[in-house]
Amino acid sequence: MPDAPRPARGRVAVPITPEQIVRQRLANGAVVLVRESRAASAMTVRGYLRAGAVCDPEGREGLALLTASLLTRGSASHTSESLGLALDSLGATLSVRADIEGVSFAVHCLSEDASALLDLLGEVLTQPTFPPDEIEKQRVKLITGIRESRNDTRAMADKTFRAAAYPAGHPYHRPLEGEEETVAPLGRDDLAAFHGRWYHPRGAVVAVVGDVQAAQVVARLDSALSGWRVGPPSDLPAVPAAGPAASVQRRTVAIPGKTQADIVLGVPGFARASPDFYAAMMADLILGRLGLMGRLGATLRDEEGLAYYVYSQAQAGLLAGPWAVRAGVSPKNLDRAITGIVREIQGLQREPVRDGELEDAQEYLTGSLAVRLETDAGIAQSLLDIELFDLGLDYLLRYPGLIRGVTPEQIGAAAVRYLRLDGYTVATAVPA
Amino acid sequence: MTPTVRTVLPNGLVVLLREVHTAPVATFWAWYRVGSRNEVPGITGISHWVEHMLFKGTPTLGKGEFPRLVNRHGGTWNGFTWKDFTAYFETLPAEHVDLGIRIESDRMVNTLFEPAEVESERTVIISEREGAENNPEYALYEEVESAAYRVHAYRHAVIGYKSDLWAITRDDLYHHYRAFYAPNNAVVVAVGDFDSADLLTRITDAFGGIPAAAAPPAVRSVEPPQEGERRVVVRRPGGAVPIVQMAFHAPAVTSPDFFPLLLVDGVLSGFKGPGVFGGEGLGVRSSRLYRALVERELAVEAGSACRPARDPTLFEVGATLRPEVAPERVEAAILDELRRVGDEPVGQDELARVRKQARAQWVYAADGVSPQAVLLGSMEIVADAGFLETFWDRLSAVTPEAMREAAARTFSERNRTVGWYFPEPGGSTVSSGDAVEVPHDA
Repeated sequence: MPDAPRPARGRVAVPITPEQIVRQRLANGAVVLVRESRAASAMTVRGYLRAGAVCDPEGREGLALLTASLLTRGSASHTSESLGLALDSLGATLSVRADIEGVSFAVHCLSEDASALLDLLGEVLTQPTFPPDEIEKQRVKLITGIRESRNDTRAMADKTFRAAAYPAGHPYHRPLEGEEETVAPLGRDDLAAFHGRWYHPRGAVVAVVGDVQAAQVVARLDSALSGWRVGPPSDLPAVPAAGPAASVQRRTVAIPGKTQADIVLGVPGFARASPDFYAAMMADLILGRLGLMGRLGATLRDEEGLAYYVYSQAQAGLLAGPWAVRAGVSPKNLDRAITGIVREIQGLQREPVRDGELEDAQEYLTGSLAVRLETDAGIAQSLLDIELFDLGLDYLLRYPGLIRGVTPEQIGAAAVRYLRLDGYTVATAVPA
Repeated sequence: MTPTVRTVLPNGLVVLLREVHTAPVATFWAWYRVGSRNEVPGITGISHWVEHMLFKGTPTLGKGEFPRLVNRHGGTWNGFTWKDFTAYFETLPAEHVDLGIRIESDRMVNTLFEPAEVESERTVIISEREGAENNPEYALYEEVESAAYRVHAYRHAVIGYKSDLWAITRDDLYHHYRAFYAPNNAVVVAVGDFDSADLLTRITDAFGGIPAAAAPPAVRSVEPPQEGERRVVVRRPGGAVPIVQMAFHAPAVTSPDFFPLLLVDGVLSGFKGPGVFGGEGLGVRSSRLYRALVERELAVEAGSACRPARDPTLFEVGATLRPEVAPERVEAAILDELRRVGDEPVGQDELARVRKQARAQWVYAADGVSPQAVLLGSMEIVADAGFLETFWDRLSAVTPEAMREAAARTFSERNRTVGWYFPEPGGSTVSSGDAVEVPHDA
């Protein structure tokens, strides 16, 4: 390569170290992490609770999502309307959203309103009232979303993939938003009971970054969350094992009124805590992320012109989320694209790194810390991950060593172990 | 926000530099005064296609090397095309900002347009268009936009018409590139952890030797006034609920009506921020459209947009209906709200709320070097050099009466285009089948 500037090795800007973070476990068990930052006169909060769709009872899919959506629609001292007005009057956002594994919440406000927003956050999390008319509004919105997603090729390819790749009873098998028939009967009692059982401070994490005083934030959250019932321990429901299928599975959904076909091809992947995490993540980068969507982008997009988007993504969370390749192609190129994706997976297994790809991946992961942690939101999200996955506040200091320790053999082994060519699932949503 | 240093090099290149030392990163951008507004029928979508070609390499850095090099230095990159501009960026650890300078100065003039690469990119872009076509909301928007404008090039989507995408030639692309990619038609922006004087020297070294080109062709067409309501309907399967969209001709960013309309937009659906692409969704739930449509159970979503544009543009309003609600009711409810904001001045509390949202958007936009560079680059092209400096004074000077007048002028029947989308019946079918045969030694 001609006179490209050389990356500086080893210099990593780290805004998260034990010295820069205040970490405090509140009396009720919730963990608060604060990093003071003067980038903007604002406060950013990212938080997490273990109350996702994994907790949905069988036949009540959509309950976690509906419950979370109601938290900002009525609480002890606020109607839905008055909370909306309060937030809008401060130019602030406060959101709560359920995902498959958990519930994420977020706040963004000016520093001058930090105390008011922390109080509101506490009220919303611990004292929701679930007004029946607001439940109806959110239910219609949810059902409309379900109907829209049935008409959305990307959403349907993903849903069909997950239903086929994960066993019944696994949270990734089921749709997060439920089905019309599971959402229709959900009532106020269901939501209140779900909240009572799963929204508790043990396992809750709140990361706060911004132009704030750490001690004041901790004190305010301690007070705002003080009424939170600790409750008896509720173990998360057991999750059945997920792995490669017994044979290659193909599922197709045909949707009228569409031009393009969408593909999801993959397997159940690996959890964040897996010992394979770093090697598999680097395999994923090489396959379909680095540069212009990795090797997949280089062949299927850049050389063959088959797809505008083709990339791989491994969702490594508390559970083993999907490790899948996604692409949108003309229906006439569907089989050619699938063949090409499989060919690149084979290539990765046979030759995990070539032409400097190992260094590309290592330099990207270590070098990009500065960019990933440039904003308050980026720091808050990292703090949350560090706490959630028990990585330790010195994690970013150890991170370059972890990345540089990964060998080509480990990358190849991870690709072989997970991306099983005799047990993957390919789901397509095509024009009818 | 910290001050910006603006320099114009002898070859006409505008350089905007803003030092921000809160994190050890820097972002480098090249902006070109070219977008879909510079396209005529037959070559629609060409600006966006040229943008794709700028990732295909130069004689010194081959295809795929730009993204790879940026990633290898810990950076992120992208490019995008809009009606008024095309932009490219690299956000990097601060010590590597020169990589951005090197890439952008190289591809400003040295991009290869290999015929084989043009052909493989043709189907990539058609795939991008077909992905958008799958979405009924996009299909309706394309109809509304092309009905609202009769003459001006804002009438076609940035992605272009499919027939043009099949027909555009390599030479068309190269000609477009040579006509619009030159220092005198570009703005480079850097925001981040650097010394401005030093960086300006390096930017001058890299770009100063690139000669100015002939002035690019001006956009000639001027949209004539509309003289009565226009309506379009899209019927097709593939959607769940009807959608209603409206578009009203609105002035360019340089008009005195722009700031009043920006606040009117805030009253209708929350204040979006000073830039072309808006900021976080603030102020939605207490906004007038949300209360009239979502709270009253007519729609699941409702919004509006007043984006700064170089030429006279559209003020847009839209709603996704609840199942079983007739579009007539939603249209009437939207028109009631638009009439009200043109009839009665906005009250003090409501205006104070929108102004606070504006202040918050301004502060939030300063977190991160890239959003700041987007504001600087886009407003330099869409508005003028002083736009952001005077933004607050001009926004603060807006009176409720000026808002009322601007709304009344804009939201008239004769200035209105209305679009309805109706989903047609047709169900999905699911099937399973064998996997495709894959040769094991492919």
